[in-house]
Amino acid sequence: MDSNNKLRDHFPEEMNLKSSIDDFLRELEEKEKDLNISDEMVIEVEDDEIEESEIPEFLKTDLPSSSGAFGENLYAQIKMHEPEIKAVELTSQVQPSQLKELENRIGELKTTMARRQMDFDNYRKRIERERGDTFQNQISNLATQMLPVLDNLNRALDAASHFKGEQSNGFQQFFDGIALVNQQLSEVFSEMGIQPVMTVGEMFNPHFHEAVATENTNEIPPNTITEEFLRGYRLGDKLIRAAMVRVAAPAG
Amino acid sequence: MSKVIGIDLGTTNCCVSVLEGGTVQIIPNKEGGRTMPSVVGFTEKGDRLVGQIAKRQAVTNPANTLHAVKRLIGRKYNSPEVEKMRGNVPFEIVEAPNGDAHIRVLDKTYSPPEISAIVLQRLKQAAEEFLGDTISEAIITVPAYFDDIQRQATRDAGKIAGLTVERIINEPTSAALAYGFDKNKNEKVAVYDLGGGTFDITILEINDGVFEVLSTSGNTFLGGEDFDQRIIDWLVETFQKENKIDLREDRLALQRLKEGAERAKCELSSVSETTINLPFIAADPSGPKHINIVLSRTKFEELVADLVESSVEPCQKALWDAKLQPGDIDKVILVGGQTRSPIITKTVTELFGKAPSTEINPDEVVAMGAAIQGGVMSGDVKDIILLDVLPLSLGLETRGGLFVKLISRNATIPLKNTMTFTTVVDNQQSVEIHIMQGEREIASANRSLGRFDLVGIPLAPRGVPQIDVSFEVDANGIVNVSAKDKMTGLEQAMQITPSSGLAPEEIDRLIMEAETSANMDVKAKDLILQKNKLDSLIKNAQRAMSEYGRTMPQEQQQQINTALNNAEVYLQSENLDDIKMALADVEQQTNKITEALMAAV
Repeated sequence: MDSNNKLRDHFPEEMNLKSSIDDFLRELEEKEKDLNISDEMVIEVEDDEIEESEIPEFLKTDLPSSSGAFGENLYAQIKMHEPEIKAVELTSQVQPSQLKELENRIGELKTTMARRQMDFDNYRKRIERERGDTFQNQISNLATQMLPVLDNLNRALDAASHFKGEQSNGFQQFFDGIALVNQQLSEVFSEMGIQPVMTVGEMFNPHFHEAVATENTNEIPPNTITEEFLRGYRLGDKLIRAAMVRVAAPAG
Repeated sequence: MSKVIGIDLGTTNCCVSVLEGGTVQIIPNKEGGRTMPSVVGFTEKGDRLVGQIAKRQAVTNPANTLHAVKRLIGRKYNSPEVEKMRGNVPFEIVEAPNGDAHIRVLDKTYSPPEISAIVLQRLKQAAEEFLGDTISEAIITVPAYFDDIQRQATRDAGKIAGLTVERIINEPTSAALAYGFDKNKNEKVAVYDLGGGTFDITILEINDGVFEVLSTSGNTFLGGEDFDQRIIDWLVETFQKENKIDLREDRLALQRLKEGAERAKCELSSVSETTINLPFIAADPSGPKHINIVLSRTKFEELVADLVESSVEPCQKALWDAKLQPGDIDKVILVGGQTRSPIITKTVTELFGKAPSTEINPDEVVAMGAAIQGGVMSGDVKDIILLDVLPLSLGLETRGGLFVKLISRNATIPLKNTMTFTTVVDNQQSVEIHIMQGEREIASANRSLGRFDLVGIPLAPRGVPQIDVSFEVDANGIVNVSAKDKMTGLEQAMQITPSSGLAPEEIDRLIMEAETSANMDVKAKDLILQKNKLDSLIKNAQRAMSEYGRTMPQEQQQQINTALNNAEVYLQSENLDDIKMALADVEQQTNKITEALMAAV
């Protein structure tokens, strides 16, 4: 038997020289490994196989000489200290109701803590999500404030273009200059990613357009935008301002 | 341990909030607003639009855009309120088989709770996105004067939207909750609520966490919108006097005036004068015309003086009904955006002899209180107990059409009360028990909840038989009424379950429908997002082509341009698969452009 031989080789008489529990355990472990002992295996050891003389020395000192005597000894000790134990019990006695209350309180605090933790996690996730939008939101806020200025500049140019012909050369040059400023402003918006909302000829879509009037006609399909009153703008998918439009409705 | 949200379901606007980490958070909607218009639109294509978006298409689709549905909820078709509304709204109000007011839209009839459910569903979605968790419970607020049927209808609306309504609480109670209260004190609180379209004044008594409504009054057709209109009228008249041009005929000018008026009104809350600046508002042969006019607070207050004055009388009536002097009021709370105007603060201070509490945003205070109550329900808040009280008195119709109260309003439920009645004619063998709810002395002015007959009373002269009638209200607001003839022991009983006029199986069906359309909404949103993506991809690719395309071989240029033009056609498509296909194609073309560019560099 190969394995048996090996076992003997590995564990010579040193077995008897073990000096501490640690060494003993370590050796036991190695033994187990080599024996391939698993949980499922049951090792039967017959009582009479162990002889008093075979018990290692350190185990003898750890154990009381006879279990019965040890039990009696402990009992006697408890008996002796009984008055003291009683006294301690009395002073530290907690009413069951108080205990219950404290337990409830701990339970409550635990739930509160769990809730706060959950709230905080949600909060953190949301802030992370919103951080991505912050830049977009700032552009969109700025644009919301600035768009009326652009509108009014456009209105000024529209109004002036009606009497262009009647004006002096000087006015014409001034007008052209202002038109360039307007163009520049539009370019700034467009560079920020702000695009005008398409209107005339498109189908009315309340996600981007605000209908302020209707036009009864059968010449074009209903719900087609026929006129833009106020230009709308969007930043990617986000609407900054809805375009104010007139929409075709079936006549009659 | 999921959250219970608080919802202020208003006539013109609604607001949703939640308690988080011990503080109340207002939940913004998709469009970024902290409140959302209570408007629902149905389109021919079968879309359902909610809030700001529904409002934007109201002009093109007036008959199918519903607003102020709260005025209809839990009401009969022939009630005076509904009759008044019928003349004022562009949508069709119809009579349901059970006499309730329903709404007909695109050949389908909807009950008011179904419409409110659409709004609630949107608020629920916003809350779920905000919290990253599913929400199934809510507290909803209603006006203090809502009766059991209106409350139950509101509860049903929540149910249809997939929300268990843990509590229905009064709007003024909710506002008072948001401000907090001293548990050991008996306080009388006046809540002055001037919203977008309605005015309510409520006097509350808070005692040991019990909120009692002592009285309520108001004007259902007075609101902040009337204040804006006054400024617009003044601007139009002033402009007409100076320029002989009527701006009312110009839709765009009117829209600009409205925005200008709103802004001026808000500014006048903090400064004493403001400039309304509307350049190029109109033009005539002499050239463009501008509005550049200073509106002082004094002038504004002169314009709206009668509106403010008309809120004073209901306040006095409420005090009178509560049998209180102005000095008895411990605290005044302001609700509704319009109360930000100093003239309101001034008027209220004069009326009650003390400055109102204004620390909390008056647009959000009601929703905030509801969120606090939600916190009580979910266990986040411990030290408040809000007891349920009966909103209106319960009683019987007696001889001569008079109403006898068995249980007075504000009684904390559950409770029971018995009263003894007798016959009115000799040898009367049966009595009719007509159960009613309301505060009026005349039975017909109150709301009928149900009726039954107690028959088999032995022959006896009138006034001799003794009939004990008991009313018992349980914690869920279910009323049990029994009548017992003392002599024979004969007994008849009836149970009145709060009902909104919708049968339970009908509600179940509506819940199913609402879930389906919520899924449809998600699909519609996806479609729009994909279309936008496609749109910008095409535009970018086209721009790249026009700038750098020349470096490519002629043939490839043509190929890419054709592909882009083909993809553009799908922008009009309603088929998600088509759009996704087009997207993939455009992406491929974009890659080609990038490759060509890289090669060129």
